[in-house]
Amino acid sequence: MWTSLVGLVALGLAACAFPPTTGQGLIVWHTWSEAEAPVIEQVLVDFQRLHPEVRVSVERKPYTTALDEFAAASHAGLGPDVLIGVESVYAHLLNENGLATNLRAVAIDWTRFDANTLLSVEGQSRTRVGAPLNAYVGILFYNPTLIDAPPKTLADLMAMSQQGVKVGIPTTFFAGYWGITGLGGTVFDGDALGPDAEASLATWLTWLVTFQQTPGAVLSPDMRALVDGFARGDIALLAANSLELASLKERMGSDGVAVAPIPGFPQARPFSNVEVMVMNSASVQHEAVALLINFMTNETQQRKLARSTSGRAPVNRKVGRLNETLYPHVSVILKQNRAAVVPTTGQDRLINHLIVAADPVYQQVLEGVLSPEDGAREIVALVSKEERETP
Amino acid sequence: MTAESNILVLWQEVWTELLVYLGRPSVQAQLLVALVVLSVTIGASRRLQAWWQHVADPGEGQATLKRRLLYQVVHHMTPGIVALILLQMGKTVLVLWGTRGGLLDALLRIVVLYLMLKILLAVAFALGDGDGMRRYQGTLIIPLFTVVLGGQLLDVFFHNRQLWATPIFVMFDSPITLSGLFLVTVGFYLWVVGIHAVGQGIHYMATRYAGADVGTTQAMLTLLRYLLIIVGLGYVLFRLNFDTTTIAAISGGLSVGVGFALSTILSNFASGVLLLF
Repeated sequence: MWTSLVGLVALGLAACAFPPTTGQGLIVWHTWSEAEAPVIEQVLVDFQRLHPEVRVSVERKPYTTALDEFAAASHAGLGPDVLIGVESVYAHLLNENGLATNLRAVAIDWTRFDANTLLSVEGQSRTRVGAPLNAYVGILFYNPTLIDAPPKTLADLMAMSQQGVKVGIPTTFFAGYWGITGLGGTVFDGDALGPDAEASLATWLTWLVTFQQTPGAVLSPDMRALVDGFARGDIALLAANSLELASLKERMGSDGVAVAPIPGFPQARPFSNVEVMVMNSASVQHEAVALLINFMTNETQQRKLARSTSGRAPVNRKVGRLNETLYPHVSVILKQNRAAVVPTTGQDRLINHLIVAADPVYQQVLEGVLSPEDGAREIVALVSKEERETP
Repeated sequence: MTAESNILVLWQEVWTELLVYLGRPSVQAQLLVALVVLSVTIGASRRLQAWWQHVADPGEGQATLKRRLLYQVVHHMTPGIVALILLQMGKTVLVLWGTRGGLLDALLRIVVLYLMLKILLAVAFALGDGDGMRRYQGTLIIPLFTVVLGGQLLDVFFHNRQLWATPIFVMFDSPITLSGLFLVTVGFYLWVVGIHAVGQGIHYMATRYAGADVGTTQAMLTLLRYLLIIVGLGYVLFRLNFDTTTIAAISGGLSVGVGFALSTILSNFASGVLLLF
């Protein structure tokens, strides 16, 4: 048995001496849904056609397990050269654990991205933990069979709900951040809690409490329940992440769902999630990875991805406009994303603290246990305490 | 895409991935450490085992069970323990050097599995007859361990890949996958040999330590063996997605012919069973 094991390992080592003769191999994992996988896989086929010297092997991994699988494989020196489709916050985690390469030294054309988008992949010591591919953002979904035109302002939204139009709003900090900015507030001062945070939170909570009294208000922290309600036709308007568009289209048909900017646009600014491509730190294919990233973020591929997928906005800044008549959904998402808040690495920890502190307090305020002012005070106190205690 | 082209594309991808992995310095470093560790293990454990045999071999005589057990456990576990220690040392060196050690972790898991198997073997050697155990070592233990080793290696290198579920060819309108083919051949072989080995073990223990009647035990175990083989065969056919109506039709047609041809044998077999009870 031991001799066979030695033989096996020796064979492996001997094979190391014979690198592939027909070009470089590039292993790519992606986390796109089964329905959207053909889109990204076609882009990779096009890349392969353009660069026959790079042999691409593609595998789809479910989003829920992809990070764990990537981490385990990378720890063994295995895994893909590139992982496509992780949120920037996870790319930072992988980089901090030594599993994702700092791409700053890799020959990627960084000038094609917005400064804000780049901030989301900028780590400590000016590292770049991944390359942006797409972004998804909070938008307003509406059912065109139930309402004629979407509301443009928060006042319009309140008025529609007053008339009995069912309006779904998520009552969590992250998904409802657009409301704070829409009412002229802000929570951040750079990477720290801003001086107006408490007042801004109190204004938004007061608005939510008032809105709750209207006949059409459907408030819930459970985004899945809200999306299901919208898909069933029980809710006519819903503020949710643009990535929901794919599943809503599938359930309601393309004509059954329409999108509009968040009420209060452009002042109302939802968070934008940047979807990135991460390079495995075990990989040595820097050249091929740079080729792939530059290909996938060029203007043509970004337009193609935006047109073919549902709910993703391009990150190449040259793709500023898409034809609104031909691509009504993507053009709205693109417009909304331009006005969105891209969390920086420095803000990630603060946002996590805000989510943990604010989400339960939002419920207490809406249940009448706390007043909006007391709720806002408690959130700020909890977050400040966490910020002080976390090294 | 046909089943044949499916498997061809998949194997090409697997081959590409393997070459990419082997081209990575972190993998090469781990393989090198593994090679050194395993080579040293072979040399060192052989010397240790020879020394242990020299000082503690109870021989074929009337040594106590406790002494036989101690000798066999130490003898069988020496290579595994040496490998565990050296692998852990190798991994520590790699980590200190700033390289990854995940592959060595996988190898450590394999060695732990091997050690567990060896403990069972040592107990069996101490309790039973050495010749029988040696026979099963070649026909069952080593093939079984090779299967486990292969599975572990595939899992480490191509984690979660749909390699096993890819159809290779179509038979009786059912796509035969790699896992199905493996089950029919290696799996069924191990099942049959395994049943035989366990039966032999039970027979040995029951007759030697419990004073059971040799003939009765043998007959009951034979019946049980046939039953388990039929269960195994049924499971294999089920996993291969064989149409049960086809099986029923074939077996129905055959049963008349087989019934006539084997009537004497079957009646003798039935008489034997009746005599037992």
